[in-house]
Amino acid sequence: MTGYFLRRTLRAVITLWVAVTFFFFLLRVDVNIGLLALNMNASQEAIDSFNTRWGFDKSLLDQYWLWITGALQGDFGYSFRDARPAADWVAERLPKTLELSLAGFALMIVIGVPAGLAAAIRNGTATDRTIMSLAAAGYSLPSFVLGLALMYTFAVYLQLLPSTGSTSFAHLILPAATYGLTGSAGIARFTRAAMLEVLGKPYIAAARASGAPPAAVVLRHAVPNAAIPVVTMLGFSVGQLVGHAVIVETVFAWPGLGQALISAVANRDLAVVQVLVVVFATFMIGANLLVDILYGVLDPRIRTAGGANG
Amino acid sequence: MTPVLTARKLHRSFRRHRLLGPDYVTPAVRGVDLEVEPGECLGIVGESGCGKSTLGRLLLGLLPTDSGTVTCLGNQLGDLSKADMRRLRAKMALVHQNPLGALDPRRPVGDQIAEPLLIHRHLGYASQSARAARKEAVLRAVALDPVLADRYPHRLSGGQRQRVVLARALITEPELLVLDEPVSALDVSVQAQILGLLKKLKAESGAGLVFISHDLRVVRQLADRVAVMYRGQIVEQGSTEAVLDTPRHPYTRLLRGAVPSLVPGHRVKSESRAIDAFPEAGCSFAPRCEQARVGCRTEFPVLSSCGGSHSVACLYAPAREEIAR
Amino acid sequence: MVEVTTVRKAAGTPWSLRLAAGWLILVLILALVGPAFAPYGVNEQDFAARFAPPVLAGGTWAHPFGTDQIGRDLFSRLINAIRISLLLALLGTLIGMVIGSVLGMIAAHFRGWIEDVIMALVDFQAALPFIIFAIAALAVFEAGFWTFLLILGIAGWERYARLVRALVLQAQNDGYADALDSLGAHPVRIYLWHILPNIFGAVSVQMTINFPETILLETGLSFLGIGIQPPHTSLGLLVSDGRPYIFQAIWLVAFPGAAIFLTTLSVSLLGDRARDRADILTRKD
Repeated sequence: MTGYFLRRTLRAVITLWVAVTFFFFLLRVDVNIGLLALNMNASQEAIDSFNTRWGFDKSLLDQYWLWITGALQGDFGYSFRDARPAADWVAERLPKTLELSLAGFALMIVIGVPAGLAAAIRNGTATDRTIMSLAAAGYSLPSFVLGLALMYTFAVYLQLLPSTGSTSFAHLILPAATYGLTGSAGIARFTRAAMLEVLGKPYIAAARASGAPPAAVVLRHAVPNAAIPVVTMLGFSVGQLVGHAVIVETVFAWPGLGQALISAVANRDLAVVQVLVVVFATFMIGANLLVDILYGVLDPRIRTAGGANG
Repeated sequence: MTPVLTARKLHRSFRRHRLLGPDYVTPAVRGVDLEVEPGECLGIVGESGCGKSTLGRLLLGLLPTDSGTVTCLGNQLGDLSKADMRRLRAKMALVHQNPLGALDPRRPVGDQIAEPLLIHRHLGYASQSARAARKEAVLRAVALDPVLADRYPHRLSGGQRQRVVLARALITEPELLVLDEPVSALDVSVQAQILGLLKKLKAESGAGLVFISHDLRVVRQLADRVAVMYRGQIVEQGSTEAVLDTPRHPYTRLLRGAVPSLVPGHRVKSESRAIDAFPEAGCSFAPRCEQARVGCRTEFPVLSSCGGSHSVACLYAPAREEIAR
Repeated sequence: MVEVTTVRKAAGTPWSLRLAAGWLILVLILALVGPAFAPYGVNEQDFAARFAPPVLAGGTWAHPFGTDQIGRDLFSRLINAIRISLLLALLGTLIGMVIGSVLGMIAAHFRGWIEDVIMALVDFQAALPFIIFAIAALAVFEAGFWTFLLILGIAGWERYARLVRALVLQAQNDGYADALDSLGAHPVRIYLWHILPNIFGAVSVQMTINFPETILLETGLSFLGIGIQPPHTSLGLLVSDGRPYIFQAIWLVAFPGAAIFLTTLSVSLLGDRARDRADILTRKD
């Protein structure tokens, strides 16, 4: 049992290391970083002194070694722009992104899971069709379009809520709603499918045949079994949430990591891009690891099967 | 006559890799020798998992051997290039147990029957009409209504599908045919029809046949000689009558006992003890054998003649007189 | 059960699917021939008519969908953006399908270490947030049409690879590929003539799932300003351009936003239908 968790953790750490290495070299494919970061008209001396100052005159492997040993001690380099440690960016912006993501994620579950359950239980009825139509629409609506539509409706037209910024709770409502609504469509569809699959199983028919009240059959037998795939899906959807975060933060000028990433890319601020990429990759790989571990706890069969395959 | 097929000391095992510790090794075929003459049918019998299907694939070069040689129509299979091997396949055919699986679900069966002529251009069926004529001929040979040629596999019955697979195998006029349980997926009445067809084909084509089956009654109808396999080894071999009527190996007798008898009051004898692990030494059948003695646990029995072409791999094979009783 | 199916048949194709198909046909026609008939050039400015409202909001037929802050005709820009967005999504989906299918086939054909390497790549890509990869890659490489297209194509290849590998293994397991091998057929013949036609249905269903996601990715990245660059335009870039003027000219966001939404929705609806059909077909066998 511990073996399973250790193997999963080791795998996650290796994946993270490979990802970090991959991004390190990807971001250095273009050797003329100075030219990009300064500007096209910079003199050769300016570029040379820039490269010396930031260590780009060293070989790639040396740079990698310096970076990775630094990163392990919490030193992720310095921003080109204001010479502050890149890690400070994360420390500053992380709480904002967590605030938005957690609110959005909670909303996503609160809307998506009950909608999916209702559609599955009322399978084939008007309720089911309405929920599924809404889900199909939500699935097809880009988060930036939904965000701007909400912004127009509530901030411009009704003037109920602030359009951009992050200073009060009211500022959180629109971005979190955008985040939650876009994500909940996929959750609802998946929950419905998982629930329908479980409801078709022989043990549900057996429970019904034994005369158990319908609500008890659903709550006691169906929901716990449908929970496993749904939890997995929630975990794996963290990857998409990262994408949402970048876009939603941009739409609402929410000062989180996603917005920081976009502006760092625009400024060619290498160290900041690098550290943000590491943070996002850690988020997703960590979430996947969490799902794996939860899975092992919820379903002992997975654990033993994983053990046999090594 | 030169044999169409000769196998010498074939070995093949399967490994499953493990991250830690040694690989799991499962021996499937262990030191098999056999020969098939033109126009002859060799039956290979044994329970499921004894390695008879693996042997069939080794004989056709569809699976590489670990050691040992297969010589088919004068070619040593391991030595051929991939292109030469593919070319040779026109002369050696395999018929699977499951005809539905062996057919592409998305093409009319007629096209599939004629496909080997397109694969093997060197056979010279260059024109559409030549191929159509040859297709007509094999359809007649397997007694399949030409109307059915336009149908898709799932629209045919099990017997019709097996006729299609046979027709496809026969269209290139092979000299060696390996039939892997060709009738076991069919209803009994259809089995009889297909067996009748196979008998006719055997007589007419002059090809060497290897007939793999777990069913002794079916083998008796078609095979001239029989080889009994147990755990990858041939434990008894000889003419069909000799092996099936006067079996010398305890395993063959067990198998024969497993065939339901129609004599009233005659009890069907089933396997006495099934044991999974391979014995470290000695006869591999010993753990299941009712007649096993101390020597069986230590000494390895070699396939040796027990009268004429009949040979058996048992240290204490009973004399012919004991069995005739 | 029997009654249910007959009732459905009697009802015919639902109106939502008819509308979806109709919209896609319209969009395809616009993308193919629209730009030739667009009343104005993409970057043609009409300073006299800045922020002209669309006809529906009291504008004139000179600019049926209104104009932007420098007087560019939104209708003309929209038609061009639809062409670029559709082209990127279609080609991106195709590139992903081809890369993924080929690698999936290679993995299933050769097995062993080749399969291990390919599947490790698949797992690696699936373990990373793709949009972050896209942003990082677009930060490094010159943001041109082809780079962007390639990045869109790489998104999702891993799902085709997984699917095709599983389908080919399934085909080998079914026996017909094996049977053809034993007849002496060349592997190329087996793959192109037999396996490919058999797995095409499942792969095209995957494409209907992938296509809307590619549109969303393309428009999303263009919205962030790191996708398609001016003077070209795409639906996402139009939304991005219109965003600062949401207070005075909502149409600049509303029309391109609606175009993205309707297109992805239509493909999703038709794709769901195709998948249901495919399920029914396989269940019958």
